[in-house]
Amino acid sequence: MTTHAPQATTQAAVLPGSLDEAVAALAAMPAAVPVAGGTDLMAQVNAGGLRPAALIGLGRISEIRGWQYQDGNALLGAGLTHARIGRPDFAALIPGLAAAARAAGPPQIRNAATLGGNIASGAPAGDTLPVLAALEATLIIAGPGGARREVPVSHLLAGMEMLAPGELIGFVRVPLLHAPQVFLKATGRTGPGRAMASVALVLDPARRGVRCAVGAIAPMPLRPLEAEQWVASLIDWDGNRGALVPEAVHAFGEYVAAACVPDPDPAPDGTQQQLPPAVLHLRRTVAVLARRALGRALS
Amino acid sequence: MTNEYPGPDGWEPVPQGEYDSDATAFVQLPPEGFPDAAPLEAPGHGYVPPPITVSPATGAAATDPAATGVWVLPENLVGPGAGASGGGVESVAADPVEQAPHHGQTGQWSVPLAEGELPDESGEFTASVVAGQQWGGHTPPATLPGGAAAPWAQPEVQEPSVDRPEQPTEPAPQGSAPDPAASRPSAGLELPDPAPEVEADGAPEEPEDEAPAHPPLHDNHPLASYVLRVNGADRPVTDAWIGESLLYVLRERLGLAGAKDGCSQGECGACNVQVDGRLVASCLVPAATTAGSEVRTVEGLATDGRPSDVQRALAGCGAVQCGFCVPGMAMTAHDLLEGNPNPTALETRQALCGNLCRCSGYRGVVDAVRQVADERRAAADAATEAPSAEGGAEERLIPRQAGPLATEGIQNPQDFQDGGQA
Repeated sequence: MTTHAPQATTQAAVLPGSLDEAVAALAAMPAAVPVAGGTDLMAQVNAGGLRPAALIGLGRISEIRGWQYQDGNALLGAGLTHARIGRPDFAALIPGLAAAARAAGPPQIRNAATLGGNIASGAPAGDTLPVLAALEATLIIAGPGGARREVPVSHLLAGMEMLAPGELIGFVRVPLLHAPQVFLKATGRTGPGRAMASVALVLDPARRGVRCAVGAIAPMPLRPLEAEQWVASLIDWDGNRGALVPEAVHAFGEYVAAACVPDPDPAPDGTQQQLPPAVLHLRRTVAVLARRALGRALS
Repeated sequence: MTNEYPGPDGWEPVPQGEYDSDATAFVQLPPEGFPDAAPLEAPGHGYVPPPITVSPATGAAATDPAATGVWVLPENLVGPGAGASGGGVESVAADPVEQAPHHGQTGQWSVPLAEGELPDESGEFTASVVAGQQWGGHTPPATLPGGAAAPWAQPEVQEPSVDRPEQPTEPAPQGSAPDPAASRPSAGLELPDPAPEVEADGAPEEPEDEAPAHPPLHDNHPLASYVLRVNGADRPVTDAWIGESLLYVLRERLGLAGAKDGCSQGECGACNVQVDGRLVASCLVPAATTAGSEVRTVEGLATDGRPSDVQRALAGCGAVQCGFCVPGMAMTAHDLLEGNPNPTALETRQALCGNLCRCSGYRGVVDAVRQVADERRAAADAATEAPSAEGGAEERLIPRQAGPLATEGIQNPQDFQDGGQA
């Protein structure tokens, strides 16, 4: 069952059974790479880009493979697979995250890839990341000695806070908003593929807010905060949310696109530089995705 | 799980799979941080939304950013001339500007453009407030104009991936490493070395592996021994590099060449196997982490030398042309039919979306799945009609006893519709 390296003092691959064991193993082997689903890690290993000194498999930690309710929030284990997140019971809970998980890849990827791995790898095209950013999720990070600390997911994705040595993402706390959530992404092919751009949009009726995040166009998801507040001020939160005029929805898309894909600075002589065609295409894509996302969320 | 570190230009697109930042447009954020921007805040600030007249029935919400939850009565916002472009819009549109008063530039309120202006005209972006930005990954680092602080102010220049300290610190390769790539111990990412399989099979096989027996295994090539349970049999794997994928171990160490190595990225599905009942791409599973798990490969589908019903149907429906993708297809079809005994054509295609076939297409596979579903249901019906105990013993490893290619059995699947989703 367990792996054993015959002569080595430390095992090169361990499969801890609990989160604290994993943290302890990580503390014992600082150079080890924690691996949950391995879909990002092994793609690099196969490409020769990474040579792990040791592996700490997180797949046996049952405590992080489920979720539970926690006073208005959902406490998601970092080991939840995308396939599990995409199931209907979960979609009733956090529809935006479920939609992102379903769109994340083919079944053989979704069966293995985990939520925590998606956060930890922080790939720009990670599909759950804009949803988590829009939901303003909080990470619960397990540290040595049973320590737990909480970090907003935006801080981790933005690089403001990092995982300290020996820390693992244990849980993700996501607020339950009970409102429409939309995730849309544009890919280069039919079927699941890497997102060229993705937009996650959640409504927060309790706080009268619209929260939006655009993924895959930058190293981290981007929040068009001004556009969110602008459109939130136009929505009739007490009445029919869908009564927002189409011009406002359209302008929201443009607003988001302009915020996330801004114009270049003018040249030294003052002439306005033109964006490259690919970037203009990206801006249009973001605008369309944001417009559709808002329209669907309000409809 | 990535271990990249920010390059000299801040974050660089990590070499994840085939990702190429030049292939798609990619917003490069400036390396300088800007502490008072909210994390993940979008860089652009110049957009002036067009005047949106809140419909009289709708009313406007509060625009005070400090109190987003406060409901302000509509008359505070929408001026008496609600139909015009004036007051209500200004208060609305001024909101984001004052919310993020990073710079004087962004704070400047520019008059909303005329109504006739299309909202998507680029002229609406005041050029002064959107400062230098790097685009598309074509131009290397972010060059900020004249040292002026970028108004978008992203502190998040570091790579977003978690800065894991467990970066494999690789000591200098100590001689006997059989891999050629070991001569280049870079700090983070190794240079692409052709194939990990190549370097791995220098050390592997048991007889010669006893001879070297380098006990102080340097970190560059850590080995592990474990026991895989493949198709119901325990298969020991000794001294395998921990970075070997399950696909590699199955093919090269255990001799199970059914799973194919198509892309090594999980895109093609040719390497699909089941690990603990879940369909996974074996090329993306570290074999060391599957120790003790139940692995089922395409070789395990057949019973007593007879191909499984899915395999027979695949052959019968003409789904096989060159055959490279078919083992993965068979595993996917098995996995689909275990969870959903009566998939629709759409569900079948969605399940097969991760299996790429480059020569014969997918229609034959869809037909085969349909046929197997019909066969199994016919067999189940027959089993329930006959009062034998056979029905309860329906295990997935037991091929259904319906006659092969019973295509015209039962074609109405609706009576079994709710069986899926399990």
